Amino acid sequence: MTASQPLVWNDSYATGVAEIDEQHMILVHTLNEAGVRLVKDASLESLEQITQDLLSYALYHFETEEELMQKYGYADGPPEEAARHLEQHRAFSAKVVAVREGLKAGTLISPDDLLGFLNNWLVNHILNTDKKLGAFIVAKRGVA
Amino acid sequence: MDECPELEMCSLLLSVEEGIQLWDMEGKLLYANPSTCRQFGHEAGCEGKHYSDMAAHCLDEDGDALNPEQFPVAQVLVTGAPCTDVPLQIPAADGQRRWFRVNAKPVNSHWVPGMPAVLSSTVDVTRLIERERALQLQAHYDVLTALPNRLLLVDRMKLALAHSQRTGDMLAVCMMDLDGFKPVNDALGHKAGDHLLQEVARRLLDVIRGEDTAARIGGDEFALLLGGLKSPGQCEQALKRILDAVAVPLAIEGHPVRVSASIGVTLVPGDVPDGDLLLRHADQAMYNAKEAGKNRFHMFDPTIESRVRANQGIVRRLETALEQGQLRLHYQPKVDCREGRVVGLEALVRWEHPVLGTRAPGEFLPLIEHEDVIIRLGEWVIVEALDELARLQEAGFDISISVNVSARQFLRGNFDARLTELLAQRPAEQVHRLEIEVVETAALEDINAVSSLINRYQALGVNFALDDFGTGYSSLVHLKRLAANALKIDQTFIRDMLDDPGDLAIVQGVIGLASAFQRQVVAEGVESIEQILMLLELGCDVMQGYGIARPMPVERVLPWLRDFQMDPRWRLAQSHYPQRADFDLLLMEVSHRHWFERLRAAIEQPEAMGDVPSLDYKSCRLAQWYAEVGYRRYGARPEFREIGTLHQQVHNLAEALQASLAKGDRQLARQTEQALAVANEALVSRLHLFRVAEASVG
Repeated sequence: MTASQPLVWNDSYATGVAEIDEQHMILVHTLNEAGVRLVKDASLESLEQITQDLLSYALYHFETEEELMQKYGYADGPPEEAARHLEQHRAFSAKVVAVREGLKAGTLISPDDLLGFLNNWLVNHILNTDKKLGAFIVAKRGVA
Repeated sequence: MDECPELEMCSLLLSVEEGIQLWDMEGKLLYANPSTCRQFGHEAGCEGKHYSDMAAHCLDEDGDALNPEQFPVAQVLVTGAPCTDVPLQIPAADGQRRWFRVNAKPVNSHWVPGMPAVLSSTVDVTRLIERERALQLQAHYDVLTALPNRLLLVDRMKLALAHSQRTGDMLAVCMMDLDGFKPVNDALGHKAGDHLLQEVARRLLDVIRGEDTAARIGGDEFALLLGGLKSPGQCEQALKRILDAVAVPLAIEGHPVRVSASIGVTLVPGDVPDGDLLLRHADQAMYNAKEAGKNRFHMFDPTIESRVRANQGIVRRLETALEQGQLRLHYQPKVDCREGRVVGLEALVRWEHPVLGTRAPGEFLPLIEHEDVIIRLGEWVIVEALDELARLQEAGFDISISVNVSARQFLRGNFDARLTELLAQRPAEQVHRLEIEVVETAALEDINAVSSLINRYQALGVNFALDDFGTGYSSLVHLKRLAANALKIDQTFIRDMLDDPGDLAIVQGVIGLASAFQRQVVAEGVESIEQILMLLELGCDVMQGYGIARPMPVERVLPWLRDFQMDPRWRLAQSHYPQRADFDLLLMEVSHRHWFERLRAAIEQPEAMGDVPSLDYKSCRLAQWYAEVGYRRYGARPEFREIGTLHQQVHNLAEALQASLAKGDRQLARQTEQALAVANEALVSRLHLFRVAEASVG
């Protein structure tokens, strides 16, 4: 998939946990919007705004997911999966912070690199990591 | 019917409204009362008829022709069990359909004792069903306009959402409110108002497609579902048509009346496909349309909305964090590596997030940069830092603490007053150890205000540093006006200076500027001993970074300070700064190191072969310098010519390595790679030794 193609939400992305899915849709929308914007304007200001929105939304969304993990005892569930999940969240934030550091020093990340990273991260994270969490929560909720 | 032995019973049956039938086991009528014949349209009588003749005119519940096997009598004949409350329709002579409820069950007939038969009854329930339908209609439709009401709208929305997800088409969910309805109602009365609503409903139905929905939600509020859209543009066209249609003037009881519509729209996909949420979002957008001047539509932007929600959430969380003590200061030492002495600490804020753990400032400070909470946070940092200064002094450490102040805080009207107030409560020796770091780019935003603040607080003894220096566009004039005591070189330049001659040039330039303007210079983000030595050689003595110490929580500061010892390797550095000629040598060393790093990366990741640096000796920067400037200057020296030989050898080995890799000879490649590493190490160390020797002579 090239960076310029928008991600289209489909049922295969659904984790089955409404609050997570709702935020994922927004993330996908944000990514697509960034794609449209960067095609027209890949300036420093544009990149700064986009990365700031990403930081903000990531913090918000990761909190939602990690709160659910704590609530349902994900760390006591599948071994290492919870740790791997958290690690991916941290890596995402670290990468965005690094991109912003680069912007500060005048190294502008190319739109293709940024969108490629976001696309890959989002799709992989949702399809693999988040779906495992989703299944875990759905099972726990079913029992309760 | 005279044969009927129960004559009285039969005469009773003659007059009942319900149809009563007795069938033999072949399915033929033994007896039917007059009501039966009327109901089934066999006025001439129906005895002896087979049930399939009777069923022939019947329709099932949905109005389709009835399969005779579904006729209740037929079912009892097959199963032997009663068949109860089957709804049937029978068209009457006037074309109206009548509804019946039919029951049938097996019985023992008195006519032929011992012989089984089937008894059935048909009850006309048309009025009941009609009333039920009317109630249902009332529950789902608005009485005044006959448009679907909210209940049915929700139902239709479910279908429309499913359809949009199936086809991938867009669905627009709209809320519409009439502008100027109330004045009409007030001036001309309710009847006129009702008339207007009916007219609007009619116009809506005129302009939308048959499969779309217009619903009345209440008062003068309508909702629209527009499906099958291929683009937002198509939706806009449809909305313009609706606006135009509503805005056409009309006459009510001879009075000219003119209203318009304000429409809020949200689109799926894009927004969350949840009915309640979509209506809320459309409603929100409708208010935006009203505020923007009416007779228009406004598109809801789910990203903005969600982002605003996320941002507000984070701002609130940080306010709470500040109140509940989730924010902590960590301190990172600044060390003068030439003297081996700790000169200060930089206070860095960390967020001990209850869910996400410890978060670095880069992850959350940018999000509140323009919010008021950053001002309170900044004040908190200053107070904490001053308290820590007091503790340090008590413990006998005479070092400074620097705090980061955001541009917003710095330029805010009452920062001045607040800082004066905070400092007035502190003894002079604390104030003198406080350093305020302002990001260079922020200082340039309003250089007049910043420079006057700097001057005023310097008079009180507070020091200032320009942070992230090199990332802004300071001119020499700016630097002259900003009387900051120190420049802090941004860590991105330090990080790459050993590999990137451009970054090295910036570092050198900032050091030169600092020296020319007699400011202190501090390198940030120092990670390796090589960087430390290079900075010392360039003349930057004070540094901070992971290569010296990571930021640490307050309780670890005093033990760290007590245990601090100079790294003996720091003494390897030169005692004086490089001359121009030495700098050339330094630049070549760095440039070559950079070339070799790229080469090694390309070998380790052969799939990225496009990134291989040029192996050609003649086009190499070091080779060119060696052959020209270098040879003119040092050509007579044998140790210099040795550098040339080693350099040539490194290039030859690099080319041999590439060839063996291309041939797939892995063993040879490994051997060549080892030889290359050895040769390169020799070259780098000769370069270094030559430079050190030159500098001590110069």
